[in-house]
Parts: sequence; structure tokens; C-alpha cells
Amino acid sequence: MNEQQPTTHNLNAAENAPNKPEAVAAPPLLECRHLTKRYSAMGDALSDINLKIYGGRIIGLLGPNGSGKTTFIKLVCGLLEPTAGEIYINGIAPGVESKLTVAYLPDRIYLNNWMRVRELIAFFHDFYSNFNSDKAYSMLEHLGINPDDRLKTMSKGTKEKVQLILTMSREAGLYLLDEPIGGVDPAARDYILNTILTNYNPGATVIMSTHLISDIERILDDAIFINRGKIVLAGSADDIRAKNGKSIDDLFREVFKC
Amino acid sequence: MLGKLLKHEFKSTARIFIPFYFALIGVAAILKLFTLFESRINILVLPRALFIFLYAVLVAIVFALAYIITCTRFYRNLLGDEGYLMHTLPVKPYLHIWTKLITGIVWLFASILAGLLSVLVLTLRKGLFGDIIKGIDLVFKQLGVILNNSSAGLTLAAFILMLAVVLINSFLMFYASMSVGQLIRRHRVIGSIAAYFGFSFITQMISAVVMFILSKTNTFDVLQNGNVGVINGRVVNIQILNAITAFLLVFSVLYTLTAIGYYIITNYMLKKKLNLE
Repeated sequence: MNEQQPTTHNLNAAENAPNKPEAVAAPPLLECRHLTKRYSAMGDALSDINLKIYGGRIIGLLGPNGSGKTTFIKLVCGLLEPTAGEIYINGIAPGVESKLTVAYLPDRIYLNNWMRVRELIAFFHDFYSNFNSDKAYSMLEHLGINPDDRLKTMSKGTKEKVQLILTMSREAGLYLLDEPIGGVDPAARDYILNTILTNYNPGATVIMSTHLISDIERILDDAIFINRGKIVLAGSADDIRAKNGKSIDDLFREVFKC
Repeated sequence: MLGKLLKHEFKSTARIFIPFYFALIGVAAILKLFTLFESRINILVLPRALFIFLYAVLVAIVFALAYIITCTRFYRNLLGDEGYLMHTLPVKPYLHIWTKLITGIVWLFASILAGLLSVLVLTLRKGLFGDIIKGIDLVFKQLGVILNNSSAGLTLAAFILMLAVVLINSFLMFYASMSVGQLIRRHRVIGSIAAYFGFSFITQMISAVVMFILSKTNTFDVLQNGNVGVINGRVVNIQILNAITAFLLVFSVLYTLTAIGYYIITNYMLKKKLNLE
């Protein structure tokens, strides 16, 4: 692994194939140049991130707590301004347009507690032209969640599932899921990962930040290891496994040994 | 997009205001019933006193509510966990400010209406509506006379303008204080309060300076030439009216400028310095 690598990490299988020039012509779905975020003089939450990400991939953003995963995601969502460097989503800086392309699932309950699920679906439908209400209702039915229930009557796990359903019902170009399986039991984890796999917009990219790697390893196309604000390793999951001769989960434990 | 934001904002806030309005009018109705049966049943003295107290409390709450809710909504919806939802919506940040401002003002007027309605209920008696219409007629006649006299009309207009500007300014000052306060990660509420006092202080200083400068000009000089006029058969010193009008206009301009300043500050903070926890 190259800790001091200043080069841009390109995550696109097509780019690595020598005879596919047309894949390089489109702007990257997500591009970061020297992206830095500093909160205080204590140090950078994110430091000189260079990244190019294209569509159609499931990417794991892997790192210990405090490594900068959430900061990175918030920057892409436009919830934070970079201290230095640039972000481009489909070639434009974060703004109204990019917010339509990006579907974000935070690692907390962020929806109004008093609203009914039906009202939340109407809300999302109102504001996002790419929101698919039918999909949302069918996923709810699958899970046995009553759309007329208010959020505050639900358990935390169910609230998280509702939030996930709303996010995955967006036909977005980039899904940013911050710890989607964090507080959930193993059976529900499988369901959630399956939901993500079967429901995201084809051609879109899903970036999942997590530290429960063994659960998501099987569905990852690419992996980005991040530590103390810097990208430590990035590449396709198969390549990483081949080069290091071990699973990504084992590699993670080795790299981030306390 | 603003329409959608407003719809959602009204929905979210109505569930707090409407019950209070019903409570206010309900208690007024109960008090009215008490007075109706007063002469016959004496044991109602204590409950009646309680209800009078309750009514007074509700009146105070209903009027304060517009300010309380506007602040808590801004804080929770835009700076709390709900901020993760609101700030990832594909809308420009300044629309959020307008949404909160418009709904705050509308609810303030609605609260005033609810208050008036409750008073109507309290004073309900035969011929009440007849008297009200007579009263309104009288007010309009007076207004007509005042407006015919341009000086007084101008003063009235300036007064209304001043009220509107002060109102809008007060809401925007709260928003600016909170959006500055959220910069201080661990002490957001204290930060907001400190910012509020800071802004108040600055506004006071500017007002004082403006007053001082104006006092050095002829704007407020009243005892010149004894310019008098006649309104409704009474002799009025037009110079005084002009002085008052000038005073009101100057402060309207001042508060408009501070309101714009607070808007710019709030927009900048939400756009560039947002730090949700």
C-alpha cells in the first residue's frame, strides 16, 4: 500500500481495460482533486483526496471511526464546504443539480418523528423528480411496514429500514450510504444488502461506508481504505484480494490494527 | 420549490398552533358560559378564577408562540438532525430562509386573529356585531379624514411601514443569531444567544449614531414657523407630523438595512459554513 501516493485513484474497470477509449470520454460521476477539510488546527479531517469514480460500481468506503468517511460523504452531499480542493459530480460542483443526482442516507434518524410513512413518501415525491413512490410502497409491503404508521411508534431498526427504503426508491446516479447496516441484527443486514443490490438504479454507483466488512465484502466491486483523512488503498476488490492474498476483511484488520 | 417548502412548513407548524388556538377560544367560551350562569351558581367562583388565569396564560403563549416556534423550527429543522434532510433537498439555501420567514409572519398574524376571535367570544352579547360594524365604520371615517390630509396620511403610512420592517427584522435577527451560533460546535445554543446580544448591541450603536447625526440637522426641528393645519376640525402642528414621519422613515430604512444584513449573514452561514452534528 502506498501511504504517500499523490496520484489520483481511478475506480473504473473499463478504464483499466486498454481498448475501451469511449469509457474515458464521459466525465467521472464523482471526482475529487486535492480535497481537504480542516475543522481545527488539530489536523485535517480529510487531507489531499484525489479520486475518480465512475458509474455502475458498488464501492466500500472502509476505515476506522474518525477516519474521515462521514466527512467525505458530507462534502459530496454539499453539507460541508471544502477547506481546499474541489469536488465535481458529473462535472459540476455540489449544488442544486448534484443534490438531485445524489441520494444520501445518513447514519442517524433524520426524518420527522411525527410524520406517517405515507406523508414521508409524499414529501420525497414532492421534492425529488426521480423518486419512485411505487417502489417505496412495494418495499414497505415486503417488510410488513404499515405506511400509515407514524415514525415515532416504530423501533429504531424499523425507522432505519424506512429511511433506507426512501433512499433506495430514489432513481439517483450516486448513492451515499453512511453505515447502512450499523445498528441492525445479522438477518436484517442481509435483507438490507439485498435491498441495496436489487433496487439501486442500474448504471448508478453505490458508496457504502462501514466497518462491518465481512458482511458487505461479497457485494463490493471496489474498495477504498481510508485512515486519518487519507486514502490508504483504493482499487477493485478482486485486485486487492489477489495482490494481498487475503480477504478484504482480513486485510482491514491487519491495516487498521490498534 | 418555495411553494412546496411552504406547504410542508405550514403542515409541520399547524399541528402546534391550531390546538393552541382552539384551546384559547375554548377557554374564552367556557369563561363566557361562567358569566352567563354567574348569577345563579356561586360555587363557580374558584374554577372561574382558574379559567381566567388559564385564559391569560394562553393569550401570552399564543402571541409568544409565533416567535418561539419560528426559532425552534429554524434550529431543529435546519440546524439539527432534520438538517440532513432539508439541506440535501435540491433547493437553494436561501429558499429555506424565506420559507421560515413567511410562515413566521403568517402565524403571527394568525395568532393576532385568534386573539381577537377569543375576545369576540368573551364579549359575545346581543347586538355585539351591530356595535362592531358601527365601530369599524367610525374608524374608517377617521382614516378617511386623516388620509385626506396628506401629512397625517404619510405619518400613518410610515408607521405601518415601520411596524412591518421591525417585524421582519426581528425574525431575521433570530435566524442570523442561530446560524452564527451553530459555528461553535459544542455550545450552539450559547453561541446563538451570544450572537443575538451581539447583533442587538450593534443595532443599538448604529441607531444611536444615526439619531445623533440627525439631531444635528433640521429634520426634527419642530418649533419653526408654526406650520399648522386642520384635521377634522382640530388644529394640528404639521411640523410635528413631519418630524414624526421623518423619524419613522429613517428608522424604517435603518431596520431594512439591518434586515438585509441579517439575511446575507444567514444565507452565507447556511451555504458556506453549515456544520451539522
